[in-house]
Amino acid sequence: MADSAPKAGRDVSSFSADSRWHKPVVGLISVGLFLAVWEMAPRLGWIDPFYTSAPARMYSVGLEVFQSGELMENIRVSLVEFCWGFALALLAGIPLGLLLGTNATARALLDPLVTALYCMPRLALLPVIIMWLGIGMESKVVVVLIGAVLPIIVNTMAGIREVDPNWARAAVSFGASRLDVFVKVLLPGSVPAVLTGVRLGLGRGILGVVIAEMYVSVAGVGHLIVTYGAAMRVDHLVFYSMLVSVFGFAAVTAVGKVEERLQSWRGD
Amino acid sequence: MAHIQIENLSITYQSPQDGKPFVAVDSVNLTIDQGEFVTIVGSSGCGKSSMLMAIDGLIAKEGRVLVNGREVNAPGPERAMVFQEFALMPWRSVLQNVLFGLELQRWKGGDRIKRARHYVNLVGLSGFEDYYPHQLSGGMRQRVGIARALAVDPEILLMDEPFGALDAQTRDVMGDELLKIWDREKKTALFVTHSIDEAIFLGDRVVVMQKGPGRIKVVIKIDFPRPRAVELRDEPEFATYRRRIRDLLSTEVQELQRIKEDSHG
Repeated sequence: MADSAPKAGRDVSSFSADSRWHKPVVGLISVGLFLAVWEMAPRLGWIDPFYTSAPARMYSVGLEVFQSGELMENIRVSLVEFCWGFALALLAGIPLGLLLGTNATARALLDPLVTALYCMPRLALLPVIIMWLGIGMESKVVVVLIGAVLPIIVNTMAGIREVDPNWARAAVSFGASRLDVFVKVLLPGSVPAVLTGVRLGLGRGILGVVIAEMYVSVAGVGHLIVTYGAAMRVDHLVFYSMLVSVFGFAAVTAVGKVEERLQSWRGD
Repeated sequence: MAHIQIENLSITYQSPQDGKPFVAVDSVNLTIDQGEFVTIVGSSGCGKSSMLMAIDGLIAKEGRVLVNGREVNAPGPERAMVFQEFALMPWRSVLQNVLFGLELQRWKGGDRIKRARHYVNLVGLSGFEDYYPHQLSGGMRQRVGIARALAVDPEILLMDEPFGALDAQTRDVMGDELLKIWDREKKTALFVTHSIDEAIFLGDRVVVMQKGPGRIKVVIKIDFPRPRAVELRDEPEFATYRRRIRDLLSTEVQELQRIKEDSHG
């Protein structure tokens, strides 16, 4: 064999062993540095901790709200709202995106609407949604749904349309029916793009649930944030804000990792 | 016996710019015998790839294509195609890509894997079954493309510039190996290329095409015995064939140049 064979299964794009650790290490250093400055600034008397809180205080707040049961109860409320909304977004968004990607008539019909909705300030609709659905769980579920569903639709549609036509042609050449082309080429070929939509939808869904709770509600992390904010209890406000941020970071990074693994063949 | 019979084959495209019809292939007649290796050579735009697509049944055509005396208008299991851009599924491993056609043609499960492994070995990729296309070189990818086509046990191999995306060295090696495989597998082969050397080295006959619109200019019989070795390219007769085909193709370029200049001034 004259072709140059790759020596191991490793991708050429990671050229050295330490480059794999480079990004997370630098990331950790930057977060650590930020926390250190945040902790030291009030202690050195540079700023008043009443306004900024401090990382060490996060720990005592966390312990307190965990022991009182406030933490778990409100996380549960927010998570249930989020999960319902996001599940509905996946259930509606992926099939709709597939339809729009494969059917020109559906695309002509719905594409302008989807684009318009994508650009609309959805949170401005909050009062109307609450008017319709009340201040309970339903209104939050809907806010998450409309936040997350659009990037999922748009990216799924784009994923189908960007599937290399050569793959479909090869399939037809080997005797594929239209259904075969859809199942064996279009679906697997669009998976990375669908994941991109899921990742973008996650961020918007998390933001949606918190902001909807902040607007009007009786429970949930967003409700706590606005309540503590009104009472000027900065430690608690910052604690819950960071909680949302850490959760969002973890979720988005997890999907991003899966995406990256599939990404290796995209655009290749 | 005539294996493939092409009668009055014409292909017309709608130009995407002005919607006017554009004749890519005009009234081609060609008969290919069982087990023959026919190469089609011509400059880009002469309709040689379109012709192959029409024979596979992938694009609309006028005229008739007969395989074993029966007219064909759609892809069928007796024909298999090897594509220039490889057209491998990037989410499938080497073995899964070779299995692709077998799955579509509903081969039995156990048979499938056995056949796929056999052809992965035949094209020299044993040990690479679980690699993904993006981990392979261009030459290796096209080996997968060839294995995928052979695995469905076609009578006819249609190859559309299969080595067009490879460097010259790899290309020669692949041509040599393709002939060895073809000697064993006894398929009828139709091979489109723009490389004159490749056309002579591989073909029992070379179909030289001209463009504007795509027609067969001449069909040249290549009188080299088989099996053929790489050294064949250094033979004086090889050079004679090469010069003849190059002259045929270059007069065409000159003619086109003249027509262009005439129409401009």
